[in-house]
Amino acid sequence: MRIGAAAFGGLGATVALIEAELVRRRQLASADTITEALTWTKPLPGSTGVQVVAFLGWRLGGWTGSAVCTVAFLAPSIVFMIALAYAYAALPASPAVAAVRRGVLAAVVGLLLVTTARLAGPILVSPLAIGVAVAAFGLGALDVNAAAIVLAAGLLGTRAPRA
Amino acid sequence: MIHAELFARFVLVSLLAFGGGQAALPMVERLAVHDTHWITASAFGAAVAFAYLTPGPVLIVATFVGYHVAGVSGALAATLGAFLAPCTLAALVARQAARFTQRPWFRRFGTGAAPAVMGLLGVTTLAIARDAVGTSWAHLGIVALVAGLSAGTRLHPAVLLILGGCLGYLSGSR
Repeated sequence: MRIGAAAFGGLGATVALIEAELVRRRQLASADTITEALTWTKPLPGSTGVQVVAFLGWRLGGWTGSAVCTVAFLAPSIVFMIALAYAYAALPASPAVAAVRRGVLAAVVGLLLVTTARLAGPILVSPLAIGVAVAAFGLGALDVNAAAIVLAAGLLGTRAPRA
Repeated sequence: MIHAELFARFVLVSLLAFGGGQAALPMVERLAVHDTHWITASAFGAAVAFAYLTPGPVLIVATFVGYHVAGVSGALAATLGAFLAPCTLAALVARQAARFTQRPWFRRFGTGAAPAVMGLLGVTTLAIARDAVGTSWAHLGIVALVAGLSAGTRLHPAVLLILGGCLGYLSGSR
């Protein structure tokens, strides 16, 4: 699976590449299977892109297929990331490097703001959901354990009158 | 043992990431920066930047955290933890013809947890902003510019990160 190496730019790009490779060029899977994979893995926790790969891998070759596809998909990212982590640790502490780093971090903050807004759009649709998000923000800022907050919100969701 | 702890903590993170890989970012930040002080908020911000620059999922920040805690073996332990459970679930779903994700209680749990993840993403963004950007007007300008470009154009995040770096260099050299 060469797809991992080229899957820049998140879920949309990943799925488009998988579709081009598996459906059109190799005819290993149908477009329906990919839609199915997306539908079923979206509600699961975790990275949807990898989960689509694991799903399709299982359909193609059972547990072995799933493991092989997932590892192949992730391997390039892991190698890149270890190299970058090493490079980051080895950066000299010069003023110029610090200035560039602060600029990049400011850009990360900007990207995260937009990511939050994009993710929030389809989720924060009810007063209850907005209340939960505000409460989670407040509790998180007050150093309450993040895992506890998400678990409590999930349990609250199972008690809510409707989904 | 640190490798077991890395593995276990990232399993927890991945299981609470309702809403896709980016939903895991606040969990990773709380875990690696706030709770354990494994890395600084600046280093976490850099890891997020690298995750946007490298191919594949954003949750690959686990690899960065693991590397900084315990070298290459730590990176592999954290990465395995971050992806093992979600991928096993996905394969199970493929096998079970997906009954599991249709169960009402599971759907409702996800619906309840997702807004909480949004709130925590806000906390994480603030934590990086406080540590790395501070109160400099130049950097607040970069934040606003990148947010505007990201929301209003189809520019790739990598382009915006490089732009931020260049502007940061210019503002720092004056």
